[in-house]
Amino acid sequence: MSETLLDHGYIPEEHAPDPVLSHGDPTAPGKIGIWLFLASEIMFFIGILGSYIVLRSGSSLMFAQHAEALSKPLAGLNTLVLIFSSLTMALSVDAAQKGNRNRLVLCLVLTFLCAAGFMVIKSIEYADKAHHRTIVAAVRDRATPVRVELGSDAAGKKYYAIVAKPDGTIFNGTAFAKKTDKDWAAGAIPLQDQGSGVFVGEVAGGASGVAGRSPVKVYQLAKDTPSTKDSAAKLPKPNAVDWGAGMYAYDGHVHRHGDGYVFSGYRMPMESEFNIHLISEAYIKEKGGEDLELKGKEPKPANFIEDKDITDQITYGPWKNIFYASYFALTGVHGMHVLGGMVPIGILLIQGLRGKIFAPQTEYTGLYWHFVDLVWIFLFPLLYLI
Amino acid sequence: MSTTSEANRMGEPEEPHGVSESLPHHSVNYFMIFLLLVVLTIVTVAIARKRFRSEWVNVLLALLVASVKAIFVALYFMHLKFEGKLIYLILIVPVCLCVLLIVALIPDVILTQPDAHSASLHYFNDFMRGFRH
Repeated sequence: MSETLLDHGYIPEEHAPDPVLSHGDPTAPGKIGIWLFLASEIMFFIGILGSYIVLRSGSSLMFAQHAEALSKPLAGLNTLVLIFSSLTMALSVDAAQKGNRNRLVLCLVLTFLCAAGFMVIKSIEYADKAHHRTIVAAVRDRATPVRVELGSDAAGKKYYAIVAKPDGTIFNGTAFAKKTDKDWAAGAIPLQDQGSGVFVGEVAGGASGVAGRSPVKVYQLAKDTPSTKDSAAKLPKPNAVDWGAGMYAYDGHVHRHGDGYVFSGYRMPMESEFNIHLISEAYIKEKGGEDLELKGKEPKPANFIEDKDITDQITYGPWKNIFYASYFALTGVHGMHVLGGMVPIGILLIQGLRGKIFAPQTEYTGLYWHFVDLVWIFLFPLLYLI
Repeated sequence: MSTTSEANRMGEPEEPHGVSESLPHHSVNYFMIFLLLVVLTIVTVAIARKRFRSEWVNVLLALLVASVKAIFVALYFMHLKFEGKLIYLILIVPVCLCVLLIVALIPDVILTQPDAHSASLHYFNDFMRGFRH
């Protein structure tokens, strides 16, 4: 080595960079690569966020109502965990660049633990949604068993329901009487076509056993066969009867117990305009529903829902409604990004423990990790708060 | 090692490697940024607790605070403040496309009747019915 070289502090290296790169452009190719990747990630998330914006604008009330059911404390805690992991990641990058191995390992361990902690809290949230259900079930002690048949008028255009008890007596408008063709004409309840195979009618108070009028709902109408004599025996039967008198809508958490569920939440009598996808705990509370929250003591009989009484139920999955479809899509892909980030963080950690420091790679991992944090910064208010 | 090639580099002794990735030539107080982000998170929650007359005020305030947080994360944690033109050149493309997408969605947002029983929900319900049973 000549004296001139030492004077100017220049130590030639084997891996001297390409002269083109070094000339006026100090950005490393790896850094350009990770930023290009992050640019594509921005487009990925904005696509899903775009669908969220459109869906929310169409059903803003429903979105607000269902966001209530999400756990804000858990999400807030997750926000802090992720922000803290961003701090430790930034410190890891700094430690790697300064060659401080002990600090690098410590910070990477903290980052990795935060990432794992985020996923644990997220899975607690998801498990909560798996136990959260909307159930439509008969309340046995108050319900009058009701059977619904479908009828049609001579023109074959209108549909009627017949309310009958299992013993064969049918409701003729004032009371249950022995089944005759005459009674059928008096007791036929006109059904309104609600579209998509759903027909709704009102049953008079006497038939329901519940105060006021109770809805009758029939799914999947059988093919209309006009009957000239209006004989009940010849009428087409419905494919399915959803509910009659004494039916209740439940919304809350369940856990399996014998041939049914132990329920903790709210319930209210069924409404004629009922959509299982829209109902929420907040909605039932708003309507003055009954509080069946389990409070540590022995569950009351009302807290137990038997399988045979259940006519319909839905979990809080992506199929619950478009809010949960958006929620699971956004938090799901974000969670996968967190899991994905744990891989390079883990590799860098193992290398750090082996005594190797990969400063540029740590920086690129850091850039990705901060981006994952940045996405969550937007998801937290959008899904949980507004 | 020729003396001529070394002579070219004499003018720039600080940057001998050309690639400056492992040389931190800036110091950021990451703890202060972290504290700021925590405070802004609390601000977001506090704002969301207050229900304004229009839902839009809540939405815009939440997005505003989130954007401020995002800017701090990008500028300091992601070192965007110290990056060269090239990184900004890469970033400007998706940012422009994002703005374009949001602008293109404005008619959808404005022309939709805000109603719990939106058409999209009914299509969704019909579609999902098959998965549930």
